[in-house]
Amino acid sequence: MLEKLAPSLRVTMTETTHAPNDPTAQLTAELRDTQFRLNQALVQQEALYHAGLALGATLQVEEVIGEILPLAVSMVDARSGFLFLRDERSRRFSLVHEINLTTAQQDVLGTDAARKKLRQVMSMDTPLYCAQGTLPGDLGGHHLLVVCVGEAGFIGVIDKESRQGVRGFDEEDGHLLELMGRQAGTALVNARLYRSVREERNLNQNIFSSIANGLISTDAHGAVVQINPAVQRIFAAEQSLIGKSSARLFQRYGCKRIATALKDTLTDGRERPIDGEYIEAGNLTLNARITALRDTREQIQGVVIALEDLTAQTRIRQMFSQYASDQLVDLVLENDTQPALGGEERQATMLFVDLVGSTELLDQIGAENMVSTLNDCFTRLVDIIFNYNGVIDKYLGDGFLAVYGAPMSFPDDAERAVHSALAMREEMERFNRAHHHDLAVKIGISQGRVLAGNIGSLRRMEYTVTGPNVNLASRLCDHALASEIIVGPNVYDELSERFAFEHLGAKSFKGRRQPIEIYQVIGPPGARSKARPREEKNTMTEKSTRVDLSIPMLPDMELTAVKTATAIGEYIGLEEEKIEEVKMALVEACINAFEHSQSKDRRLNIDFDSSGGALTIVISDRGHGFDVEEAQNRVKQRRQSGEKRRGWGLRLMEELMDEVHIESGHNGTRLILVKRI
Amino acid sequence: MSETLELEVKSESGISTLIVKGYINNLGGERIAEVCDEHIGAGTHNFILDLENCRIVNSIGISILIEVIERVKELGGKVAFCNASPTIAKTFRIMGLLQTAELHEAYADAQQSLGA
Repeated sequence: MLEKLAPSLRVTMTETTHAPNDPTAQLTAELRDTQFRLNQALVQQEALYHAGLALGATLQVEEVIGEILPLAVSMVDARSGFLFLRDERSRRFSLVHEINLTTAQQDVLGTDAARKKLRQVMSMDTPLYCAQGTLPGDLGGHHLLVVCVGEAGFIGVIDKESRQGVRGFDEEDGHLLELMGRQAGTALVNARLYRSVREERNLNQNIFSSIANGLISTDAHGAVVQINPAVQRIFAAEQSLIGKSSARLFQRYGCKRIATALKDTLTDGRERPIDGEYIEAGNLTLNARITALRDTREQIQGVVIALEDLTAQTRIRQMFSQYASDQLVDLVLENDTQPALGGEERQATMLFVDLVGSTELLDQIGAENMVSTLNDCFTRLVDIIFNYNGVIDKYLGDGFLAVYGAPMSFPDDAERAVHSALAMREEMERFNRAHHHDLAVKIGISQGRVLAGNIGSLRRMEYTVTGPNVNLASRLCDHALASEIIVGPNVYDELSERFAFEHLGAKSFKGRRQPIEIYQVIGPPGARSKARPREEKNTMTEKSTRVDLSIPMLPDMELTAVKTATAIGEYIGLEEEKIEEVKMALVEACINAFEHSQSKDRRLNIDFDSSGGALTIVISDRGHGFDVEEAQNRVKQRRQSGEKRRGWGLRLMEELMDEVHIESGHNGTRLILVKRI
Repeated sequence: MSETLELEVKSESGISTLIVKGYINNLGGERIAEVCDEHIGAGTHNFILDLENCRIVNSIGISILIEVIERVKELGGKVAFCNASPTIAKTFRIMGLLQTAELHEAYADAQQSLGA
């Protein structure tokens, strides 16, 4: 070891010869021993000094890691060595560097038994000495010395080389390596810290630059420290803003309120919003928000001024860039008739998409994986919408609303909507094959007049569409089964020649006075239906039918239900007398519900189903429900007391129908009437 | 969607005949009761209700008819129904209306029963 120490640093003694029985011989021997130990200590310090220099010479994590093991091996004259570090994310130890290890030895290090043995050094205050036979396999015949690298991992060195041959490591080696391990641990921590600071700075810089709104940061005196590209666009005429007074800048542009507000915020630290500041020179209108920047002691270090350009073009681009393709946004801006940012009525096609199967998938894969799966899914679907120049109006739970025709109309809006729907259905099949999932989309498409425009204020605007035709698309989507695309009559009328449709009959929807004809999109012309057969059938050759009715709880509205019952009864060939009985029972059911349900939405749903050899009518409300037995007892008591006027409804229904069932709870009541055909 | 009850009234030989057209609900029942009260006030105590053009009633309307029948009965008069559909007849029977009123298939039968 002494040869490692520079001659100038060695403690030397002159060789001395002693006569026999010289009393100074022992002293000389002791002095030589001390000399040796001193030189040894010097060697160690020298080694540690150089190790410190090497490890501290770089702040790059990879370079620091690359330095650790060679230093360790060299310092204790080891034949070979290894370095294990704990992964920052998974927290598992893995072999990151080895010197002169055979493949078999690396395999031993990969076993759980070896790692567990070696890993125990992390909880020890001293080095770990592994004598021959301690470790299995190809490490069993060797001497190991293992020390920690701070909290980050551990180094192991194998077999010390000496003039006498290969031997184990002694206490001094352990002490030296332990000190070096601590130096390495500190160097690694510093390098990782430096890396994270750099990454955060880059991220902040990217965010700063990418924000569409202008951002200016100042120092405590209000001088501009940093700006983003949006500010450069707003103040295009300025040479360089860095270092200049932000207050004077805004004053020069006539933004007196912003200038005053930022001076005040620099003084008191309060956040201040400024709306609608007009810059005449640039014909701009700005919203501003001024926020104080504080250090860890809460002292004001400057301000951040966020500027929102309210100029129409910028607003339109900002408004739509997240919800429409760049191509569509460019078209909108190029068009002379730019969309009115207030409300306007226009023709549009609405496409509601709902993802089916997400609940079951969540149970299978868990919440964390579900988020990434949903994002992947939505990304694919939204890309399709953008490819067909649709606009995403809003996200709703597991779905979204896309609009074709607002803010800009094209002659083929409806056709592109249907193409989008078919493409999304295919994309989900591809997605499922790739990921072994079972998700599907169900889609509703309607076309008609809508109110389109901004909802909100200058501080926050959202371009959206609203109206009965929007609601219809939503209802059509609700009505669809998985992988079905249901359209309303306007879409069918326009596209009946362009796609293959299946007519699903007339359906009543909430908000619509009359049932409307609905159609399922099968595919290109000539395509055949692959969908599951629906429960509703509406062909004249079959006598089973289903009609869903919803009536308001208003006087005589039961007659609407009666007319429907008459029509159905005649259609299925029910005898006239039975039809009359059904009508009477239905009237009683309705007026009972009107009077007693206490339903807040004041609506009654009546579903007719003529399958299975019977006409089944389900009358349901969303009232408070009632205790059926108690109600029947009350009626009986009234009858017994001679009161004849009220309480005959249930009795009449039971006498006139073949079956009457009542299900009632706090969410409402379902009354089921059955008349066998 | 309101269906107003239409009443045509004939008085002959001490019998007031109400030809009912429409839906006998609570309002319809009240209308019938009003007309009967008017005729009772004028001295008529026998009534025929012709239901040939009445295809639907509800229990509230029938309850009002029961009250009319009881009032007429107290005065010593009679109420008869005619031309009721089988279902309306069945409903009357269930509600006990026929315990205090008569039901005839044809108007002539009702007239004869009330002593015309």
